[in-house]
Amino acid sequence: MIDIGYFALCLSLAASAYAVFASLAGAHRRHEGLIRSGENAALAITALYTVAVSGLWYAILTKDFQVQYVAENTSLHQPMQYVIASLWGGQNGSILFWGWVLTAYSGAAILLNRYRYRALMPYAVSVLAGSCFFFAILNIFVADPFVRLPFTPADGNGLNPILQHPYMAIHPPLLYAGMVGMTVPFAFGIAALIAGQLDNTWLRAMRRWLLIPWTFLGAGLLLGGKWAYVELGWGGYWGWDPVENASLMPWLAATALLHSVMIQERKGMLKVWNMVLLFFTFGMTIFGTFLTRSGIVSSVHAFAQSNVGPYFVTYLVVILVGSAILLIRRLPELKAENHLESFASRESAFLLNNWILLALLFAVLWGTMFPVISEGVTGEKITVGAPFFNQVSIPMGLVLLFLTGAGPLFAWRRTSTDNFRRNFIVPAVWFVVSCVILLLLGVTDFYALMSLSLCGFVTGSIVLEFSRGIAARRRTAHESTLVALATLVAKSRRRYGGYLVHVSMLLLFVGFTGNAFSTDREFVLNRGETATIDDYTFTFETMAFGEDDSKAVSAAALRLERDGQFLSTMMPERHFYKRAEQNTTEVSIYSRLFEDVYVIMVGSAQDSASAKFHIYVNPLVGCVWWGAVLFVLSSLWTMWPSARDRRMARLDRESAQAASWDAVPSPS
Amino acid sequence: MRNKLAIGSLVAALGIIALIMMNVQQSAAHHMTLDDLLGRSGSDLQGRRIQLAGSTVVPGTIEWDEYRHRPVFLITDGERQMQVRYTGNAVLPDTFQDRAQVVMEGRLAADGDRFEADVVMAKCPSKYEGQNYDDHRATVGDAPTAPGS
Repeated sequence: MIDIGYFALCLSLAASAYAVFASLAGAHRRHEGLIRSGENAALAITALYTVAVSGLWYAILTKDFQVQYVAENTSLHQPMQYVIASLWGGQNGSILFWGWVLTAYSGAAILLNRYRYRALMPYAVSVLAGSCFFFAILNIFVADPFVRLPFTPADGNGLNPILQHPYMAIHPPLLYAGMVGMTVPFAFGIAALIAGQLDNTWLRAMRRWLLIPWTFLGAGLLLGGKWAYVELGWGGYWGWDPVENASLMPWLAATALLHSVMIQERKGMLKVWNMVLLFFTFGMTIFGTFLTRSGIVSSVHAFAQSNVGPYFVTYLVVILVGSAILLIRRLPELKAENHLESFASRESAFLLNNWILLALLFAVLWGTMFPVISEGVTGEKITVGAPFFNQVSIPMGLVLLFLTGAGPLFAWRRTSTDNFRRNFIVPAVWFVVSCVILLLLGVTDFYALMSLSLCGFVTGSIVLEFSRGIAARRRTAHESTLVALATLVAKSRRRYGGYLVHVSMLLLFVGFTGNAFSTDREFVLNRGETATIDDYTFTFETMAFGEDDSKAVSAAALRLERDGQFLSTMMPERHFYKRAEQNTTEVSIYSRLFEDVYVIMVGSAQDSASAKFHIYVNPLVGCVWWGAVLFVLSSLWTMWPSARDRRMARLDRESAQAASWDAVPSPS
Repeated sequence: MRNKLAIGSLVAALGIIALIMMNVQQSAAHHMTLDDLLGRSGSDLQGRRIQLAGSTVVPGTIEWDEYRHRPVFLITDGERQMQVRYTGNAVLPDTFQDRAQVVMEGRLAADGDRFEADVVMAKCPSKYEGQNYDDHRATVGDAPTAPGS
């Protein structure tokens, strides 16, 4: 199987080279057969990569330790679900998996869009196949997962114990799907430039293909946070580590693009800006990969460092230079059809949103790269930590939060004073009322107060939008309130689905703000002793010990009470993994509606009569996870094709199948 | 409109740059390796926040306190060694163990021969892949002999 996998990998290299060539030549000579052949070759890459991945997976599942990658990343006693996850648990396998996800995207893009966007497809195929070519080269020449050892070890090393967690098993694939998926919108952008088809058609194709990786990336980021929270045991979920930042940055760029695309669709403005933003988003995914894999900045993440760095830099330079040349060639055709007419307009709100998102991205980039920058400038390497990122991102985040609510209140082109007053009065009242309630509750931290009050403002704005939509439907279609609401959400998915995404952002902001109120203390307790933090009392009752094949476990039992009332018995644990000789802390979390009690057993004395605990009370953190769930659901809803979309797609397909390539306008 | 827009963006950009610049100083730490640290005279490092990277924990030197919370340990860059005392509150990461690569933040102790770290980040020895087969392959050669699956 290993040999078949390697062979398939080599074939995919050839197939991707051919697909690039055939598609470009076919489009140039307007030769239908060649174009078809290019598409089919690109589909073949998907099949070949699937074979290659299956080969490695087979070796992993059968524990063929003669294969170096298998020996390094699995072991005999590893639970099944983490054996599966070993495919992407190490460097070489993750690059193979990465390539496979890319070919899956490219296959899906070809199958779904080859009739709909005919003029664009050959070029898009060549970009996609070109990226596959790059990954095939990496896998064959630099990061070969199929290398054999000259002997067969009796047992493998196994996946790192702290990665043996359900969230961690699915977190990397989600991030990969997010990072890799940006290749498809990028391919459509390049195709539009080469083909000279710069109307809204490519923009629609690009937008939908952008939403998918954007959702994956967001979900991956939040899931990584959840993993850190329940597994790493420092009470938080986001540490501004370079590796985290590397996946946050493309998400920020893509978020900006998703918004500014709307201005281009409606007003024909920002055409160049959107192209640049698209290339930048894609470039950020490559740069992020480079950052995490090259070891250029030090990170806590146990990422395998290897010699793939220079390859990614070359790839990045080729992409940026190539797309810049194409863009400059088409500049005259990318003139704006309209200009900004007023600051008090939807366009300005979107523009400001773009600036803030990019400024935030720039700040994160600056902080992440500061060691490299400062070393280049002053010769001294200076690093900046989480306080920098928090100080910078909080004010920008608040402006973004304000815009989330204010954007929809502005009219396109210009907002009259009358309109402005009518639209802003309701959200402003929400803002003031939230502010007063919070002050009465004793919230005095300025940022927390602003953040939560602005959340009130945005809620007001979203409620206003929904109630206006419902009122309109009740008037015109004579529907009841509930039916009207359902129809709005079902029919105008982009608009009202988008508002639901805003609600999820709101929940996230509420959750982030909770950090301002969290408290933590450290206690040494003898058995039977009691400690108090906020309204909670903890009684250290007993300790228990256990053991299985792979690890030894010690657990403490703590009785959690609030106002004399029993809530739960908390069981923080420490695990000792025998093979890796590594200790892990298993946090115990008791979630109430508005706050989490989070207990870590730091360690216990030799006779286990006393132990040291670190206890956090984290208010509002649940909102982050609920926000994450809503984010995924509402994004999926927004991009899911409605009945009308599906009908249009079928019509396109039927008419395109009938017509020949000659009907497609040639690139100028 | 265009001029107003240009002025507006300029003001916004300056504000953001100021925000970044003001805060960069706040949490800055000087990144050094053990070599840099020992090479410099103690006085100009006193009181400065330092990020110390590129060394590993000397096996068998981790001395925990009673509750396995704040250890004292030796680090080495392969040639020289230095004592480190952990003073932070957070529970040390699970990856902190013998031979782990450590990145630490803190200050040089007053007497200059100990590092007081309040942040310790640790990477597993040689990443996830506990045992390093690469060296073995280099010495034995790369020819797969036995037929695989």
